[in-house]
This record gives sequence, structure tokens and C-alpha cells, in this order.
Amino acid sequence: MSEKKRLKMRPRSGWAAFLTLIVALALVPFLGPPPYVTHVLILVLLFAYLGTAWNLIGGYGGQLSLGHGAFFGLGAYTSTLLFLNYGLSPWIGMAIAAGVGAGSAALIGYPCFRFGLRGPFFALATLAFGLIVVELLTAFREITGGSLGIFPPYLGNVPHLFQFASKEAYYMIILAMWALIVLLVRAMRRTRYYLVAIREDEEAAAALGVPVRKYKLLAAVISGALSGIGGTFYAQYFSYINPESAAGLALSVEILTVAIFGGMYGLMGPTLGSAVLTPISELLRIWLGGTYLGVHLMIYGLLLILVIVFMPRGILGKLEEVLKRELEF
Amino acid sequence: MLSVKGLSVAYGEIQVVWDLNLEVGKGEKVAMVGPNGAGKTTTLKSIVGLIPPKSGRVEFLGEDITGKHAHDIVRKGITLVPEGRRLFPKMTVIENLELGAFTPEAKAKKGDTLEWIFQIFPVLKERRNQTAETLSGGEGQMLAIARGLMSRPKLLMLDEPSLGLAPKLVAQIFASFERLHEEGMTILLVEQFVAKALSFAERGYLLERGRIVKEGAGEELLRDEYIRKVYVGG
Repeated sequence: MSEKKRLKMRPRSGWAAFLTLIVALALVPFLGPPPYVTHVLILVLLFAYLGTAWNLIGGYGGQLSLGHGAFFGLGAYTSTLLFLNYGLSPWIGMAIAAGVGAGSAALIGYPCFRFGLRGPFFALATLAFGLIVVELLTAFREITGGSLGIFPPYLGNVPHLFQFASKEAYYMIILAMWALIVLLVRAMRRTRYYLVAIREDEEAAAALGVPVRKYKLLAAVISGALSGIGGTFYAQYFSYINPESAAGLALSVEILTVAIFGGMYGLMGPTLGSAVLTPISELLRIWLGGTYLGVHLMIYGLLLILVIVFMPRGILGKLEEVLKRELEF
Repeated sequence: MLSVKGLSVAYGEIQVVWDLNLEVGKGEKVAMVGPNGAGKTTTLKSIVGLIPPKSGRVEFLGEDITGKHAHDIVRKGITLVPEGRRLFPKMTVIENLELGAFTPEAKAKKGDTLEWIFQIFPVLKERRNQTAETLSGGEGQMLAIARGLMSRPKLLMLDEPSLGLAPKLVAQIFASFERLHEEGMTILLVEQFVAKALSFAERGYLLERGRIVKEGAGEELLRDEYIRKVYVGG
């Protein structure tokens, strides 16, 4: 077997499992699940999508971003405001949201990578960026509605304007988005490989001729664009956005938590993380949210600490250890 | 081939290399020796673009490459095998090697290069699907050198390749350098193992506290009284 083949070869069973999963998930709406189950599944897929987008720069690239909520929120506001002010279909707005997400990621990424801000310094810079975006979205109230947010008008079932009467339609859309992002990141095999080298030893990678800055920026920009697209989906599905919920720190933390919890060194890690964490987070919110405000966040934090201590490579890493095989495909 | 003129390098306020002049001719094997902290590693990193020089000029094949990015310099044909190997521990031997072939030119020749490398270091062929962290010290150093060769350099710069290796392995590593030299490779070697390096090299430089204090033919430096007294011990 040639060396090239060996590198490209992955177990076929992985492909089969992935396709089966997609088909199974696509059949769920036909079983007539209660709306709340559909809602939780939509959230699971949305955070799996966002975690996978984050993982490109945060996991593979090793640059922990605490500002992904900002790319997401800017995307949500972009398509919503374009629709409200210019009647532009959010489907087109979604493409522009991708551009805004990419642009804002470049805006924060370029100076950070140019001046060598790494590790905790990059995390702090992106954290600050996220907080600034929330402040700006709040301050420009004439445009954004300030901290009260925006309610786009509900028009009924208008598919070409990205509005649907049923939750199932949104479910199918986010399912497709998730499947596509997994396939996209999977296809970026070479880029991921260089990113891992940069994460493991930036100087060694540079000495081998890997343009470190270029690859970091590329990962940040793609990650930002994909997060912006996610923002548009969120705005359409919830038909309400405000600065805190659509761009706030809590959101940024939730995105990276899903990825770290699930396993940020693997393609399916964020998906696994979301599949476990998002339902827990939702259930805790229902059980405890009303009576003991904030308790669900404490339990959530405790879970996270336990995972980091006992499974540093996340659920995916633990699973691979137990099954003694790589869960890539 | 490589010509360094008046190179000064500083980390912020602290200057570590002062007005350094260095020449490496095509097909030559040159050694730069000196104690810990003399600025040898800094000089190499500055040549390959990992640290921007404060002043001075670096020319390669007649072209000014001063202050260019590392990826451009690697593409022009200089590779640095860094001190301490700096392998990617979780990647396999083959994956480490693949990373060495970043430039389009190197990628196109990857198959041939691998064959060539496995001839020089047969043990890497045996270990090719193992992760780098499972290699012994000697194998790890071989992989680091091999990874550097993947870019098909014209000038190979080696930073302390004998570090932490048993004498037998040091001999083996140096034998591979001899072989590369016979095949026409230009080599700039940095070593603390002064006797070994100077008997290997055709020409040598002694670096102390960031300045070149002696230069000459390898054998000549080996016979030098100061070097014998301070570095060779005998």
C-alpha cells in the first residue's frame, strides 16, 4: 500500500454510521414527536453545528476563542436588519451574515495573529471583542432596538423568506446545516492537519514552511463565517434576538463548552458534546430554572469540571480509549 | 550559497548576536560551535526567518532574504532542523514527514523523497505508522532530520543534532550527514560537541557571547590552543 493511500484511508464503517445517523435523524419528524422534543433536537443540532465551527480554530487550531457569540450575533442581526429595513430575504441575508462573520473574525484574528497573541491572550482578546459587540448592539438602539432586541414580524409559512409554520421545517434545515458543516470540516483534511501542527508546536511548524499566520487566519475566518450563518438560523427560528441572548458571553461559553466537553481534537467531538450537554442544560433549566435561578448553571459548571479532570480529551477521547479505535471517518 | 553580513539579533532590548559574518559555500559542510547561550540557535532562527534580525543582511543564492517569512525561506531551499527535535508527538512518523513537504515543489516530489529518506534512515520505514512519541531518542532525531529533508532543501541547517544521544547514536547521525554531504548537500551544523563537529566540518566558526571569535578550517580550529583548552579538553 502506498503511503498516500494509508493516510487517506479511513474505516468505511464510519461513513456508514454517519449516513445512518443522518437518515435516522431525518426520519424523526415523521414519528410525530411532541414539539418540545423537536425543539430540543433543534438546539442539539444548532450547538453541534456551532461547536464544530468553533472547533476549527479553537480545537484544531488550538486558539481558544471566547468571542464566537459575537460572530453568531452579528450574523443574526445582519440578516434580520436587512430583512426588516430592506425586505431582503434572510436566505440571502444568511450569505451576507457569513461575510460579516468572516469579516469580524478577520478583524479580531488578524491583529492577534500578527502580533503573536496566543493562548490566554487570544482568549482574552476575543472575550473583549465579544463584550464590545454586545455593547455596540445595545448602544445603537435606533438600528438594533437596544437591549430590548428585535421581533421580526411573523408572516406565517413563507419559505422563500425563511419563515415556516412548523418546527419540523427548521429541524430539517438545521439537520442539513449540521451534516454539511461536518462534511466541510472533514473535507478540510490538509488544513486541519496543518492547524494541528501549529497547535502542537507553532515554531516547529513555521520552521517546516507552514505559513502559520495564514492558516490561523483562514481557520478563524471560516469559523466566523459559519458562525454567522448559524446566527441567521437562530434569528429565524426564535424570531426574537437581543444582544445578550444572540451575542453574549453565555452563548460564547456554551459553544466552546460543547466542543471541549465532547472532545475538541476530533471531528465528531462537538456533536457528541452537544448531544449530551444541550438536553441536560435544557432539562436543568426546566426543573430548576423557575425555582432556583442559576442553579442549573452551577450543575453545568460542575459537570464541566468533572469532564476536564477525568476526560481531558472529552467524551470522544474517552470513547475512543474504551473502544480502542479512532472515531473518525 | 549563504552569506550573512553584519547580522545583529535582539530579543527586545537584549541583544544576543552582534555583527556576525558567516559564509557557506555550495556543497560545503560548515560548523558553528560555542558554549550554551552564545547565540548559535538565535543565528540559525534568524537566518530561516523565525526571528527578525535587528540589522544586517542575509543572502541566499545571491538573493536578499533578510526579514522574509519562514515559509518563503523554506521554499527558497533552506531548512532548519530545530534543537530538541520538536516533533509532533501524537502524529505518526509518516504524518510528521508529510508536514515537512509543505511547499508545492516538495509535495510533487514526495514519493521520491520518501524513498530516498528511507534509504538513509531504514528504521523510519519500519516505524512509519508509529506515533512520534513512541520513538527512541536516536530515532526521534533521525525523524527530525528526515522531516527537514522532506522539503528538498539546498541548505540543511542542523541545531544540536547530537543533544542527549549516546555516542554510538551520535556516530550514526554524523554518518548520515557524511552521506548527505557526499550526495551534494550543503550543511550548516551547530553543535556543543565541539571535537565531533570540527572534525566533521570543512570549515568552522567559534561563537562566544554573540560574536564570532575564531574561524578557519575545521582541522585548524581543532589544533587551536584556545579551543583545545576550553572546548576539547586535551
